[in-house]
Amino acid sequence: MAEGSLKERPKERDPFGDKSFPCFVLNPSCSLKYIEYPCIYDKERDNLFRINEDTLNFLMKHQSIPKSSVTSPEMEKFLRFLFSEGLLLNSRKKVRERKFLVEEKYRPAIPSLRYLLVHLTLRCNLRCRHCYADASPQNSTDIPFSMINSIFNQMEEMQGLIVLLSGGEPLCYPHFWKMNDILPSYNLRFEILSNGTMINKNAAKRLNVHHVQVSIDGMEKSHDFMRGRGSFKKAIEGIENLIGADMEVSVSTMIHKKNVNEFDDIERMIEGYGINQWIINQPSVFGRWKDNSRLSVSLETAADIMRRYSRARGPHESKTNFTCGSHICTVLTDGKVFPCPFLNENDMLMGTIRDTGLRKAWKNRKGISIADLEECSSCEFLEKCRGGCRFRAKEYGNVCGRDPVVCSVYNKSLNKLNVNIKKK
Amino acid sequence: MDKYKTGRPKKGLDVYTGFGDTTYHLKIEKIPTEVKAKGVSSQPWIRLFCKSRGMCSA
Repeated sequence: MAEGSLKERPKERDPFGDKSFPCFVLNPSCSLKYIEYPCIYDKERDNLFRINEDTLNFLMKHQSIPKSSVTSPEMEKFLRFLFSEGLLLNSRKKVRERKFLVEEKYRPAIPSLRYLLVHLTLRCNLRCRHCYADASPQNSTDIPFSMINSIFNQMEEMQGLIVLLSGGEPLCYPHFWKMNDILPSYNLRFEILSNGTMINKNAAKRLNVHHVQVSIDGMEKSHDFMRGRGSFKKAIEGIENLIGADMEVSVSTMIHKKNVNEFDDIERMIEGYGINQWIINQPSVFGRWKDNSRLSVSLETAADIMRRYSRARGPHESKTNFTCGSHICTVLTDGKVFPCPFLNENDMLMGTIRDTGLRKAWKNRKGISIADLEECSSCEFLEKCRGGCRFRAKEYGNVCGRDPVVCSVYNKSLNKLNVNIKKK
Repeated sequence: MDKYKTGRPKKGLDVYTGFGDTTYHLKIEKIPTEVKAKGVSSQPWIRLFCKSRGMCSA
């Protein structure tokens, strides 16, 4: 099934064969950026291509390429490749040149900031038992709309790739639709992390984002137990509406005692919708889960489920010597910038959107190097897991220690690891 | 290692060519995304954490 899956590009005819299109032009969904290296980013399909300086200069100079001017077989081979990857399109005429901010002054600190999680609001139409943000219908904390423009502008200038819009429920943000209208003007990919319940047919069609992640925390009874009565049916309707609107959809599931035996059923259901990205995790003891953590399952059970069922595309390959968070940070509703929504204590504050700006905040980032993970230094899996989650390691006693959930996923015996399972 | 990271081969091209009055060395390589497949644990993606759709593992 193709529904809900990553979008495939339809096969095209010979790009040089159709005389009614005398030009190639850069696909509007593609932009030229400069992260650790010059690149082309296709926001529609989340494809990243590394290019060299010559290719960057060539594409900056030739955004419309008359086919008649292509005389060398090597150039033809190159353009055919760009066309086959959807980076170039056929066009009847030349297009206006687009401006790309790739000059030296725009280039980011290394490692580059590629992904940005933005908490739009702490409003939510649900009051889930495991919400780490403590969002609810009673909470009316929002990010000011003027700050939204500033965040997107700064992220674009910093050569960012993806903005993840979260909350609370993003669709409860009072300026959501106003924000939605401006999204196409940015050379950024936008994704929403949603409970799905407010996505009716009209909303699904209007969304100007590239991906929606919908939370499904079990089959109807267990999902409603965690998220409130009637929320399962509405979330499923949301998924159906999104698929009907040709949106790329993924599902996120938190493991808890009520859904632990339902993963085969959930799998059948989401596969039935053609959804091929399923992100599964153990809730962190944060926010409202602190009062509900009796519903947690053991690390071994969670790890077994994550290993067996989860499947998804993650970030673009990168070779840094840092643990998690090498290329991402979070903006909370007050404009404060933190490495992630969980590591949000004052000593982790990187800056604010208004005072320091995103660029300076990113420079202030105190990354944890893989070499700092002394407890993991002899582990055979370190290259693959890169230490897992630093917040979870902190929860278990040491921000530079082990993440026992990820250790379990890799079948490491927790007793042998001498991990203190009793949390502080 | 590639099989853990991509599930597909890297794609790219490296050509020397002239266009207009200039000679270019044009080079492009598709950067794979980390992929976690169903039922497989030994992949980088598994270090994910849900709220950022896995991007925090970058």
